[in-house]
Amino acid sequence: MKRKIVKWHLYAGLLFFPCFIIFGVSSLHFNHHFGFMKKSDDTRSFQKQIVLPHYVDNKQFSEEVRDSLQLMGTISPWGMANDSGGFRFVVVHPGCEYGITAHFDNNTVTIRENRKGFWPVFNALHAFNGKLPGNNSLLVSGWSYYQSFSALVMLFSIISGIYIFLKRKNERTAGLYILFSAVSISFFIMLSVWL
Amino acid sequence: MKINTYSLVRKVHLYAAFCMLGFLFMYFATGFILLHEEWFPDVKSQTTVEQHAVTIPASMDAKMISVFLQKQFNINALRYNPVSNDDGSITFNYEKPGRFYTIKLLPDRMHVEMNDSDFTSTRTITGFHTLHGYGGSRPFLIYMFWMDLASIATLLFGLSGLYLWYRLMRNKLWGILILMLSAGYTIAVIVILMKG
Repeated sequence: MKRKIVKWHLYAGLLFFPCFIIFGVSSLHFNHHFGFMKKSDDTRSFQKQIVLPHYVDNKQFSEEVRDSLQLMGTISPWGMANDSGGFRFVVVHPGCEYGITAHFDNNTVTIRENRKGFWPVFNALHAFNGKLPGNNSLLVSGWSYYQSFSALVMLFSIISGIYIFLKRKNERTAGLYILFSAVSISFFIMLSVWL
Repeated sequence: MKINTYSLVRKVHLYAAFCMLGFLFMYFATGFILLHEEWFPDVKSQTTVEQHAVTIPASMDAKMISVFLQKQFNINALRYNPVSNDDGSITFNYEKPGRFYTIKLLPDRMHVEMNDSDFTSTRTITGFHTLHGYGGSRPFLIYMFWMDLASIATLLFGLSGLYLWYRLMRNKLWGILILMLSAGYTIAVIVILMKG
């Protein structure tokens, strides 16, 4: 029984290994804002000719333009404007930010693309639910399931880890002291910020 | 003295897990709620607004005023950087799980407008997860330090666990397949988001 649980404990850990690394590194970054993990300033602009959709309202129009351009991302409620320069809006997702201007007079759109680079994407996966409107891929939308499944696997790892530890008689007493002391300290710290 | 690497790594894996178990459990329970917020009750808040007269010493800059106001109103919370507004007022934000305080120092520097928002239980629970950055009263400094330790422990679990699997399992085929699947999937998502 113990051997089987050790085996499943190790396999569960391997399945969860990338999440461990992502959670550990990104949590440190959220507390310290490391300079080398800042988003890149790599920006380029280009134009595309498309058939602009019929304008009904800002939301409908910006969504249809985004879909015509086969982009994925959320339309930011900020940076939306409709004036003589054209209709402007911003599409964002963890890896990129698109500033889009639709020109009604010649059916063209100008796209200013800012790719954020590796670290912003890596850190965004910490809290990414995979739900991106537009031209999203199955792999990306599946991230939410992977993360939820990983959380359950983590729970299994904790319980099975404690079981494996309790089966070892030689360091059980010292380990239990450390376990209960550390858990008590953690809850005391949480209580002290809550109250 | 010869060091038994396997035994050392196993102890690191075990005791790092034990030391941080309370926080890790909180991380994963609250993280699950954050990922599926739609399954839980709406985030609603009750906000009270009060005006107070204050005496701010002229020599104080915005950061010092932030500390001063936190002590003055006895706010046990994480302190954020002050924000200067166009009208000459300064906004100070403080947060703790389930509670958000906004203090606006009016341009006359003699009055403040204080908003105290009290959130529902779901937001209180997830508040433990979303607090980040050093600043604020002493319990929050300890909390952030403990969070840093939990983050390092998370990395140590992963890396030491990988080593233990490598040493313990004679037949590594299934382990390699699982690792390739999880790492491959993560890399694919990162690449799609970087290029997409």
